[in-house]
Amino acid sequence: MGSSRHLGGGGPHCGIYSYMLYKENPLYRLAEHIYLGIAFAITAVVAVQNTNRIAITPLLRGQVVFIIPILLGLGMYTVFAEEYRWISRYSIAMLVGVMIGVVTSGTLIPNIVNQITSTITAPDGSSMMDWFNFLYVGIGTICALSYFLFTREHKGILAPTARIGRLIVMIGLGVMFGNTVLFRMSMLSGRIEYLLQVLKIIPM
Amino acid sequence: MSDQTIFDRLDKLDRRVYYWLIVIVITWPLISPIGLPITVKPSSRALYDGLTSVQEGDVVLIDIFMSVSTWPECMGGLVVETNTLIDQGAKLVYVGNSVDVSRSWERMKELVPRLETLEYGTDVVFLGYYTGEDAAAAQMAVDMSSIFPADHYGTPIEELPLMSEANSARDYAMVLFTAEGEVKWIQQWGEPYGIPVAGMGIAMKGSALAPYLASGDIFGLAVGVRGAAELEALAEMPGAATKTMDAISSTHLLFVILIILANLPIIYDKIKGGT
Repeated sequence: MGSSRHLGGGGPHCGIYSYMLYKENPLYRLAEHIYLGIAFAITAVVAVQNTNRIAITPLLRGQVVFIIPILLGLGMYTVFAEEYRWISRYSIAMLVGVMIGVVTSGTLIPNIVNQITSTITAPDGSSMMDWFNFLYVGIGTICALSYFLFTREHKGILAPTARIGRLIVMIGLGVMFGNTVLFRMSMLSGRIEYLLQVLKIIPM
Repeated sequence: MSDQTIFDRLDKLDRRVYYWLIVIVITWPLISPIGLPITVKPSSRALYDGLTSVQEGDVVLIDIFMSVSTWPECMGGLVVETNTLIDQGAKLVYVGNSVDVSRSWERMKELVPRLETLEYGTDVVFLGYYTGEDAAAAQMAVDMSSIFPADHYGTPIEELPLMSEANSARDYAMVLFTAEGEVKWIQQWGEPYGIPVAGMGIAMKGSALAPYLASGDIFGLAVGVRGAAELEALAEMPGAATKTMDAISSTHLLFVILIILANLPIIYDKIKGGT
């Protein structure tokens, strides 16, 4: 049972990766359809279970207040019927309003105040590296911001700062790209490891 | 044909050759590990130090925001976190914002058999999937039972002794995020209630998380499979991440060589006076 389960996983793996080597092919399409079907099925089941656990079960136990989120949730589906689409606006308005209210209250300190404070605060440590990091981040932030200053032409004092800013942004994007490559290779490594386990080349 | 340089030939090489090269370079260290050294970054050490500073009886919330596909990146680190917290005598509450979180939980129980030795409901609880990001985290901070009326297995939350003593943010000593979803914990638990936040991010999130580390909004951070391998090194529990790092390092070395090879013809042309 265990080995057949793993072979059932290994087959679609090969199918998906066959796209890179042999473009669109029947094995890839089969694996793609199996994957999409399972992914949607899991998502649908979890969504229904979640709704049942959080709202429907308490409602059936007598907590009538849960009728409000259930009705708002159902209201979302009226977006598909043109005649009743206006109902969905109440649901969307509630959703957007709650999220803005919740996020705005929490975002101010960590995302704005703390970031500015950490950028302009000199390091406690006296190591050269601390000071280098402080200056790099401080100067880099000012220069990168000046690069995105579009209301003035990048001439005079703005010319060198915008140029340095562009370099800083490119370094940042390079780091992000490097991290992305690391992430993708980790995923590929995980899949290859799984295939090696299925083939019993390395232990499960 | 004979006029072609080595660079011309490389340029015209079928891309599948490179794909196979990558597969071989990844596969080889997985079969026969090289054992390349792993250096520990201060951010990973800070995370590990935070874990070892947890007192016996402290309750820690662990958010598993990783899907099955992210296991190679974060599962190794999560295993170390769990083992370390069990060693410290912490009580663990697991939640998850990924639809397949139950699969991750089952896999972790296989990798950390000690989880089964803990008393479920008293020392460890798996509340399961939640949705709603910031709104859910904000509500959890006030009343966990409103988001989780029952745990993943359907047991009413009032029947779980651990949850009666850990029903709001102030009852927790720490929040650990896994893979993603860190911002909501910083915004809804860290900032308003002063709960220490830390965790592991996927490699792609490394740059985005660094500012929070610099500003002190998170006290520690392990990034990607490398971060997981660093945690394994610190805890002296070499596992999947350590083995994967050999494959990752080898592949990155291959990429560096390929990038140099790809740029050599351009430099060669420029030297010859081409455009």
